[in-house]
Amino acid sequence: MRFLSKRLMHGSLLLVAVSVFSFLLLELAPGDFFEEMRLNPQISTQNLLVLRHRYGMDRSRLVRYARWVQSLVKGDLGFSFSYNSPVAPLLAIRARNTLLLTTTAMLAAWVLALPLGVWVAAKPGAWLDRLASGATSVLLSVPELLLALVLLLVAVRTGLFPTGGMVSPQFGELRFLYQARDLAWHLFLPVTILLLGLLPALMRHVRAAMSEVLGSPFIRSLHGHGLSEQRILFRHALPAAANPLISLFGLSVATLLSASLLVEIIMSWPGLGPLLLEAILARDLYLVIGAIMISTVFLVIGNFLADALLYICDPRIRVE
Amino acid sequence: MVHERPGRDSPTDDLRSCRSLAGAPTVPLLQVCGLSQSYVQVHPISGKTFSVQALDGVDLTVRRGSTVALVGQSGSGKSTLARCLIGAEKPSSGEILFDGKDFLELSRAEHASICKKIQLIFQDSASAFNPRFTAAEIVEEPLQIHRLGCRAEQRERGLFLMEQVGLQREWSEKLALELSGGQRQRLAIARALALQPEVLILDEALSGSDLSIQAQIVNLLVELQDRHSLTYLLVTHDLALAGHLADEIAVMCHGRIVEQARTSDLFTNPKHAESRSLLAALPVVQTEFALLSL
Amino acid sequence: MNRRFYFRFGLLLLALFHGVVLCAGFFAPYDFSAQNREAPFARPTQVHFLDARGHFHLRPFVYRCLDGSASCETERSQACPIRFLASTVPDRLGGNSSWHFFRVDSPGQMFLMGTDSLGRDQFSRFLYGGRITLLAGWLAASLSLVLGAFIGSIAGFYGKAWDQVLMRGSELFLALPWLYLLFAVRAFLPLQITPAKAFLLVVAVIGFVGWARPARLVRGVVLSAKERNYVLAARGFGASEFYLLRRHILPQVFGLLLTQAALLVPQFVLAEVTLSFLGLGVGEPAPSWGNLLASLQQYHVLASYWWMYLPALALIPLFMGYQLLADALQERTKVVVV
Repeated sequence: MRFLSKRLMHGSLLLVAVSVFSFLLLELAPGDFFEEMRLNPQISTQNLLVLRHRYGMDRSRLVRYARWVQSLVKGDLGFSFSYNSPVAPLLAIRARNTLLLTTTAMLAAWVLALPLGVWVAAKPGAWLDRLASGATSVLLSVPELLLALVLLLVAVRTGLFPTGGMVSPQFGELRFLYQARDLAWHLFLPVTILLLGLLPALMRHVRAAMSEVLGSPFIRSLHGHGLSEQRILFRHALPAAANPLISLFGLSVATLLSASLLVEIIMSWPGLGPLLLEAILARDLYLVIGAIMISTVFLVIGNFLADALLYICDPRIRVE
Repeated sequence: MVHERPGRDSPTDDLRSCRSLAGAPTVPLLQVCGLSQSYVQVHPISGKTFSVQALDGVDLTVRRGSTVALVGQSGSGKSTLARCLIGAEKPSSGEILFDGKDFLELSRAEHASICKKIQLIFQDSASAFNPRFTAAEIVEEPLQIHRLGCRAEQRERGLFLMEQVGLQREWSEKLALELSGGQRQRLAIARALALQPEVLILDEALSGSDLSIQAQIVNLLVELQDRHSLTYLLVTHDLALAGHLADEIAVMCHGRIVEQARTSDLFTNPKHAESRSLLAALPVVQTEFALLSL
Repeated sequence: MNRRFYFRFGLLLLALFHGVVLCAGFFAPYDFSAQNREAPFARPTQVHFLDARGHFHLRPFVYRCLDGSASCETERSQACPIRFLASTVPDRLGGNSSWHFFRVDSPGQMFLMGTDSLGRDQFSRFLYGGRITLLAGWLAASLSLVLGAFIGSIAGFYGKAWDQVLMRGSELFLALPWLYLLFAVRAFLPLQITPAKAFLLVVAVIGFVGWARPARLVRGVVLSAKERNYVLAARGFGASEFYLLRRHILPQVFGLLLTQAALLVPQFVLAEVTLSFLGLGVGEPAPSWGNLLASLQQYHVLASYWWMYLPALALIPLFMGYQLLADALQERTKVVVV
């Protein structure tokens, strides 16, 4: 339990650090944020004064940070002038969509990488091993940008898959089952792209971790006991390799978040990616910070999940 | 001379009686008084800390020109003591007197000059050398650090030292890893001699080698001791070796020196339980052989 | 197919890329900003060795429609031979050299990789853009490595407080998703800037964000080297801290830095390409592989003009080359560590 609470504190510290970091960037950005807003005729000067006071633009830096953190905690992530709405509700929907995409991709990647990696590690030097190693090398050299563009081209040319978006226009009128199918159809391409980007690295690491475990003496003694290959691999070797693999899972959350950012933009998936890009291009800084904080929250949750899994799977950590 | 510790007097009494030896007519070269050292260890996962007392009031006397063996089981604190003596670690309390002067109280410059006089030879000779250095560079390194002589002189002195320990000149361009275990130990001794030390501490230096190599190194050490009037402190767990080489043996247990006596006295009449158990652990043949060689 | 072969192959591939890109002025037939408004999105020009009558010519040639249209039958076109190592008067905007690897006499036009919406030769833009992209990758990697090595050395060597503070900081940078981090830092910097400033900005941002991993690795090496017996021995001889760093610890770091360079440069090249693709990096009119691909964000370009993908395809052999190099370097540097 101490382990988990330590990790939780660690995650919270990360959030705090990112908030300070973002705040500093906000402060350092050339030009007063509210200058931009002033140029926007949709916002009245009255509103502007209220906002200025609320954000403490007339007070010291520390007070401003405190106010900002206060509003963060209350759920008020600021105001987006390009969308003319508070940031939080905007982010909520987008964040949900990104979460859907990334969790699906993560599950798919691990479901494929684990058995493949184990299988390949079990027979080192065999044709499968060499094929997999060559294939992963090639795939690792292909940038996700290209993968996304090519698959999008395939979608455009063949019409087999939708060329973007999350749901079809008539989504609201469909029955539940058809809604699910529509969603899945739209999910397919982005998830495939993310999968192809993540799978090679995962497979390599799974293979490496398994190879190390398979070389250890206790596995050899299990062979001597006459257990079947499959049993040894999955009931004994894989759990022993759990520790580095779970850490890998924790790391893969960050890479997946980055990858999904790009893929969402290219495939027009309505997630945090396109929102963030628009916000940057429009200099809508509070929206940018909001998106970054949300992504950090995802990261912290993902890492904490990994730590919890580690706690469950590795008895050495439970011994205190 | 036998040191006895009938009971624990107050620490200052111990220190005073210890220091009084330093003022005796023949000043011992090295005198350790009341040295204590403790470590704080952190459990890698739970983060709990607990302290380990590595040295607990160590008193040791080493006379000039003699060979003192420090014996004890693993974990008795022998290596810690050795490291404190060469200045690699700072003990939490106590004194180390070299030629009557307290080591630990000296200024940096004086400390540096004293450091040269005490050298350590490691157990694992492979790790004692930078793998990228050639044998010549290894032996010359102390000279380079102190900028003694020009390049050519350093080279010449390096080769001379190598010859003294029985290494051929042609091997000076070989990498340290290319040499065999015995050759590496010789190289380590050559390097230690570069600055003309007075005390050589051999930290289990003979433990890793084959017996035949051990014998060669022992002979080399004896020869060098005669030639350069060196003082040896042999840290070992091998009582038989100590019996063969040393004039005095100090038995260490749980961070304290429980008995320090002349070798013959210790073997015939061990006073402390630890000494007795170490002697009992020796195969009978070896004990008698060691006794014969005294 | 052993290690040495792969290493040499990778090295050769990389040398080829970098060499050609370095001499962009020589290899590119046109200037990167020269527009040909009458030939937007022209297909890559076909190079012929056999003419319409079936004769073989040693010197390859291209066809040029006499009436100036983009494509026509061979009868109505004029054959323009390709001249190698030709020297010409520099264009008004000036190519970098007046010597070119190959050139076609006007009115012949040779677009090896087609043209974009403004009729600019993609092949020339690819070469000049490669300069910018690869240079950005290299500069950013150097920045990261220098910064990382410096911070890692301090953390490893002086330990305790420095170590704690610096390593916590590196954890922050390592934990966050890199693209988000890049975006975050880029967001707060001005958007409308000249390509030159944008280039420097991109290099600075990418380099600054990437210091964490090299720093941790260098710290690890310094920490373990510090505890080695030979460092202890040198201390025993009275060596100063500076001597220890210089003679014993830093040489071990160099091998590590080289391997890291082989790993970081492709990542940073990709980062630059991504940023420029999204409009956050080097902008018009300066070419970079990223903004060459930017037009693919429009569906009609994506679907119809396949030659616009070619800069992205070129990244594949580049990354493979770096991967081979990195693998080989990792093997080599393992050997000397005791």
